[in-house]
Amino acid sequence: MRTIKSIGIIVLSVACSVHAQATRPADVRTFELSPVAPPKPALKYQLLFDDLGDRRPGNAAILYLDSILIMGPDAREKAQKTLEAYEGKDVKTFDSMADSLQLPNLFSELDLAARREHCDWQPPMREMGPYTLLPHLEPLTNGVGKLVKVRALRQIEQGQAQDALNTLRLGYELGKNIGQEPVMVSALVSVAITSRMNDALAQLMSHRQSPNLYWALSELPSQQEVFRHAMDGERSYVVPSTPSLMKLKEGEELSGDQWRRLLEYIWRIVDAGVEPPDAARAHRDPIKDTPPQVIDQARQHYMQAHQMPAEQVAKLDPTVIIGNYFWWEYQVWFDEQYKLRGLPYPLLMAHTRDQGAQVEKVRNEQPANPFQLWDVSKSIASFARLDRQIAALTAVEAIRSYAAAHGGALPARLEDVSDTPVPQNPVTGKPFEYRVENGSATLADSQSLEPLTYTIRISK
Amino acid sequence: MQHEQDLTPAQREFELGLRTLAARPGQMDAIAAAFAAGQRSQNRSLRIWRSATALLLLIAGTSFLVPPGRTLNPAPIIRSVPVAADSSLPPAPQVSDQSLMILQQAVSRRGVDSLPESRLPIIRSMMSNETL
Repeated sequence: MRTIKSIGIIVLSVACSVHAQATRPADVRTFELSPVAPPKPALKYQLLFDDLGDRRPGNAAILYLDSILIMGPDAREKAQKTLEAYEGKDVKTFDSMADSLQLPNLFSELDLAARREHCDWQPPMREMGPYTLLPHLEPLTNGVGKLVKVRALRQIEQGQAQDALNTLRLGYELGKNIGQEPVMVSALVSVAITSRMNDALAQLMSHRQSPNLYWALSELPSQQEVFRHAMDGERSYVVPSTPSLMKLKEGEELSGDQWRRLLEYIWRIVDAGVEPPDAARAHRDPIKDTPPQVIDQARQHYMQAHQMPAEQVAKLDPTVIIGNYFWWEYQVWFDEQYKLRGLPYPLLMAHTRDQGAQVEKVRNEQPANPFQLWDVSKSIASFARLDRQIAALTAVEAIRSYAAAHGGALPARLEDVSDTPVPQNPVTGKPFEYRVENGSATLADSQSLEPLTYTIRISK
Repeated sequence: MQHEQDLTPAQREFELGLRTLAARPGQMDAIAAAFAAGQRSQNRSLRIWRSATALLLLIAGTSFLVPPGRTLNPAPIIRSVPVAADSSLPPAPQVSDQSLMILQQAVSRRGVDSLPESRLPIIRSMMSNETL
């Protein structure tokens, strides 16, 4: 068996297909912008701290864990209710609840964390594999992340633009730092928190006291790096935490019994959280539930891989043959997905969509194969959607910059905006759709599965 | 006498020869013999004492290697009990709702908002005089 580089999983992870996010509503916003040029110096406002100027040595993760304790157990519910009041335009309730969530100790801790030079969560994934505990993710996204948003919205409402930017910077840093944890679920939490900060930033941009944030936004790094980092982690933890897979990696062979136990172990991971618990337990005998043609393919593969005559292979325990085939096939499919991770979003999404269909076909043909890849395309869509949102917000500020230089006029075409170039739509790799009608500009992406429509008006 | 009359001529000649022999004067040193006898009788107990001393020194020396607080108990009796353990797989701990596998499943099915709630402790400020 060829050397397995380092295989991550499998199963659940790669994909985290984010079903709920695939069905989320389109990104629709309206901006009422005052015509303000970008500041001078250009980076007067920043959404992340400078690496050399602002940061101090240390590990941010420890301070973030402290912040969860400082926040307390009931802050999550309060933050959620406060945001619901904001969405419901219940200003009185929002103001009252937001003021009760000032939490100065928490924000001091977050400020220290955001200024640390690195963030290392040190999850024991190589030792514990899929049993690794990540209890910090939920309170960070549902608690700390939402509290940051509440505070920023309250400051925006009070006209404290600079303070709101300082608060949002803590949130962008939090999102970036959670993305340092090399696993897909953390990467998706990172996306959720950053997207939440974008929601508040969009509110700030429409405020009459808001500075032009073109250069601040154009500096934000692409989320594709977070995706890439998560894929690295997914590839690396299951094998080290599973001795049988380590044996395979080192070129050893497993007995029939070892293969049966390994397949059962992987099924336990795949089935984790399935409701009801026994729902996915049918058709799991690797011999009885594998179609004859797949068993034939497995034999052919074993003969070639081991340079063994057919008569000798026929005497082996069939579970060994099938287990080897399942594992080899998994490695092939994983690398087929993994190798694409550096491609631009349009190519990445197109290729992974095609692969997703093929992976689904294999899964249906091999019901007893627990080494399943999920359709990674939906996960990629989450990262692409966030990058598109940041690009669109940058484009809005570019248009505002044009208006500031042209007496409040909107550009007729995006190409007319030259000093603050309008970024392309990273999802399509093409310019955003743009039109001006009745004194309003519309920036759009109508071709994607989750469309985007930003309407922009310049206030006089 | 009856016996003498039964001797052959050759035996009689041998008898006469024996009578001509004289005893040699004695060379035994009574003091040396007593010393040697005493030495031989003490060698065994000396070896025993030497062995006992060496053993005591060994025990005294190794006692410094035992960490304080530990006692040298007799080794427990280990009984072989058959267990259904698979050394090739990690033990399956109880699956926590905060484990990676459960979180991945939750997010994959219902999005980040469906992460199971993490139970947080209530912390309170501690005054300095509480530590005294």
